[in-house]
Amino acid sequence: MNLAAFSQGKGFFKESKLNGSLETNNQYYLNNKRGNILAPEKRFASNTYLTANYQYKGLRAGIQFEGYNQALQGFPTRYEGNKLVRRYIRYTNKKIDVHVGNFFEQFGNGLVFRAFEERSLGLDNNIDGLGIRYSPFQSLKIKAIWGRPRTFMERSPGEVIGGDLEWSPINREKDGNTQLLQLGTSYVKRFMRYYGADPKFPQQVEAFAARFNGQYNAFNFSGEWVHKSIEANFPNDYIKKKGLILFLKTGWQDPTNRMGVQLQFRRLENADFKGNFNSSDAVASINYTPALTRQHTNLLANIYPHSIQPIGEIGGMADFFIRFKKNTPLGGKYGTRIDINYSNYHALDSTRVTTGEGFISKRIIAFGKTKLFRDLNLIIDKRWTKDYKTLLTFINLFYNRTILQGGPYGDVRATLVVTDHYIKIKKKYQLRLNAEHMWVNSDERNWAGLLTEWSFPNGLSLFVSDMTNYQTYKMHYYNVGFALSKNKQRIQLSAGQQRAGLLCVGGICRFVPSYNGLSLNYTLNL
Amino acid sequence: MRVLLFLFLFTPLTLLAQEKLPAVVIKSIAGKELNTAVFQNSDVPLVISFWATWCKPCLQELDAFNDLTETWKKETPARIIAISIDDSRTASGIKKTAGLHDWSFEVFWDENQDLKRALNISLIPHTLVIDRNGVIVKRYTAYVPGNEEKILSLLKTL
Repeated sequence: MNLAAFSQGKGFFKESKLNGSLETNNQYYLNNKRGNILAPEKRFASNTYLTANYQYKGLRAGIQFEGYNQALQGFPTRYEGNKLVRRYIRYTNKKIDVHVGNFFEQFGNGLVFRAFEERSLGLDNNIDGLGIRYSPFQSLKIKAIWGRPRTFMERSPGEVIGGDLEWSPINREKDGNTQLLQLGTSYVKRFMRYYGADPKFPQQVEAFAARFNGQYNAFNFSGEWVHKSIEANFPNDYIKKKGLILFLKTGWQDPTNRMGVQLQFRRLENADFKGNFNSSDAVASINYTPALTRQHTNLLANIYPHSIQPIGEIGGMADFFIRFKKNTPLGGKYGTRIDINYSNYHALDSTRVTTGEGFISKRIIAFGKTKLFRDLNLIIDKRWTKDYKTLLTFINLFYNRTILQGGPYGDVRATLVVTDHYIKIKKKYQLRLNAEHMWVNSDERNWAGLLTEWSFPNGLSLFVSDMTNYQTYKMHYYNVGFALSKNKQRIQLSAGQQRAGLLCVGGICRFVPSYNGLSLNYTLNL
Repeated sequence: MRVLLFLFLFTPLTLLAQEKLPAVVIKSIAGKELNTAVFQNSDVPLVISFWATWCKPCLQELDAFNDLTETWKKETPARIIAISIDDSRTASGIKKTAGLHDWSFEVFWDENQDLKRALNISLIPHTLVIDRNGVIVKRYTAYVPGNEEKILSLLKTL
């Protein structure tokens, strides 16, 4: 080999980058002692994800392999077998970004289009096709997509094509002051062939969105309006109805962070945009309309989470915080933080009709009589000494179980008090103690919960938790285990009877499905 | 079996490559776009921490960094960057959380998790330590109390 060729080869290796990851989540199921939770016939379940990405200058390529040796409980059973679910090539330079193969993308707030992955929830609707981002000037961004969304291990029978344009006429930042204005518009079309007997069935659904986003120093404001043509799908009982989404957000925050407020309003009407009109699964949606409520991280508050009603919902969320500085009467030696969050959602003010439209809702800004969900949270975060800190949380919620869980259950009213204690010992050891109680007027009545966790400087963490509906079924949902984190690797082994929800132990937070038995999780970054 | 074969082929190749921060578009809290290429040759070491408003250990880690800010300034020119992976469900809380905790470092937003994906991050918190040449020299998965001291010691050598 001549010297020039060798040096070229050396440069090639220097510029080449290869990385990857492995994540495997395994569970072994057991019957519980009382016999009211039965293990599935196949006791072992496993979800494994393996990714690899290669980069050479502006060129990138990658793959993702997934293996389900029976998907974990709580995941759709259509995740099965082993398959290469993602492969892509991407070229990026200063102005253009072209994606061929499987890719993720989002237009605006995601209300009209969002392809994304959230493994812990079993969501991945990546598009297999072509994605282009083009920016002729810094103030103008154009996006275009075409392809078929992923649905479980297959491709959706529906095809999606769309475009998005964003213009930033004002973009100034000086001396800590920001003035920003962005205007955007999106168009997305889904086509899926219909083989039924209805000659008027909408095979093609089009959605159009317009949005703005801005900031004027301490004030921020944004909004998006989405209009969707008639869409009939399985979750809306195949009514032939147009869709409408209205989203508004504004806020103000003191530049010295002493206090701030954020207000959000959203109205949904036939808002679920399906890549496959015959599927009720969340993964089959090509837009993203999440619950705009506080994401609870406690054991018990996750029992009654809001479940959005894309067919018709109106409401909003308000956030307020105030921070008392150090060395003030209310702040004490280390400062005090007060965080208040309120959300309230109703059904639309609507009238049922016998036409194929299902219902009509004439007034855009009108709350229906049916209350869906209300949630008030007050959190006081206080450090008492250098090594001791507490979080006191108060939650009051209303949960319309009849609608949100579907059945003649009635309403749930609950009040929850949580105390979280963090105690540091010799700077490197930490003891966390979390005690909770929830008063509930119906359903499984009152709950109590306790979690304790010890963290050691070598990356080891031991945890044990229990929650019980002590007035009714007297079930114990317990979890005991350890986690070990070492640089690029992490392993967690736990045993218990787990309810589904967001679990924050072992130095991380992740959504866990419900199970009874043993659980082993391992992640590695290569 | 296929997994093992893949790992066998894959691992030696990774040893050849020095991992750098990929160039991906992220956003400021206000929504202004920024390419992470600007961090690749920043002439100072970087600490990049991935977090979310609902992740208690992430907030603990970032608070620990914040408490050490004055010490860090005296001992290293390193820059701390916090990148939120909140989606539109909780994104309104990014600015509020940064304000509530009065963080003195820069906060950005990986809106559809493009950067998280490009770095193959599965769990948060996930923290990267990057040297002056833009090479990722250390990754920390999960927050272990005391990590901030280890990171500071490492930064002093970069």
